[in-house]
Amino acid sequence: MKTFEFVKIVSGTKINIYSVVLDNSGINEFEKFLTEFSDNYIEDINNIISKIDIIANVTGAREEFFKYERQASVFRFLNKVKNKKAKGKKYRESKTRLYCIKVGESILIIGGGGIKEDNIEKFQEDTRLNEIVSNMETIDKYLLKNEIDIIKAVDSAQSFML
Amino acid sequence: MASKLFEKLLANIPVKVKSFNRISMEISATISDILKEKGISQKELADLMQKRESEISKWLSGNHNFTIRSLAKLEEALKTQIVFTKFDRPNITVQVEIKYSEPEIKVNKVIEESIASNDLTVKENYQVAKIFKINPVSGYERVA
Repeated sequence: MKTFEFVKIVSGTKINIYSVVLDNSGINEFEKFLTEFSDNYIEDINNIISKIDIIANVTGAREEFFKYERQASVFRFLNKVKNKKAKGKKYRESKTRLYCIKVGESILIIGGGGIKEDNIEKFQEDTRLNEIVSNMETIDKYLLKNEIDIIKAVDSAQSFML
Repeated sequence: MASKLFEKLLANIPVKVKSFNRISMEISATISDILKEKGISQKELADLMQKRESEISKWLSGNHNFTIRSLAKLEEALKTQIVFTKFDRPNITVQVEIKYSEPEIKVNKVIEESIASNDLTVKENYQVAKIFKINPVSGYERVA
């Protein structure tokens, strides 16, 4: 990743939610994730979309709804789906991983995501997931270091060079 | 402009999925707020309820399928009502500061109209009796 810019995904009554476009790719990371997985993982995607809508309009980005991943400020959504295989538990943790940066409870930047397969224990074992988390960590560090005003950056379509 | 793809996918989500997430997340957020207000940690709540802290963390994640029994136990442990239905009545004490010259002003109507028009800040699902002060500037016209 060399450049990134922010785009608004949801204008909520509680908070606004953003995503990032990397290297002028023309599509933000969140929509890339939705496009790729909405056919085969519709139950997961429905849960994620529904939760984002509630975060934007009702609850805000509360810390309890997210789970830390490697670096404190990069989170992944907690998400459960119906467990069709196992006899015991009705719900299992979803295989989908969607990473985001949470700036307090009022700004949420959603990045890319993917599938954490059953045969891997940690996301670091998956090249793609590892790269997505690394990208989010890089953006997070840049935000902290340069005190970026995300709202202004979106309004002016400002692009940031790393 | 917001994401059209997001809007399109949101519009197609079954109501039961939206409802489950909304209810679970709202209950989680309510419990979390009560814990903060009362200065109770997740660990302390776990001890109160004889559960593991990881279990409490799950309850607050916005994914939990709460049972009525578990909510009742939570209300008992937290000594606070968590779930409200349409049968719950607001328990509000309102102190009205009237700045009108007309003595016949109908105070109750001012209160009702102020609540309806969101002049009052009514918080936490009305569970706590609070004193509100109303300072309407042009409210009198609505009372007539």
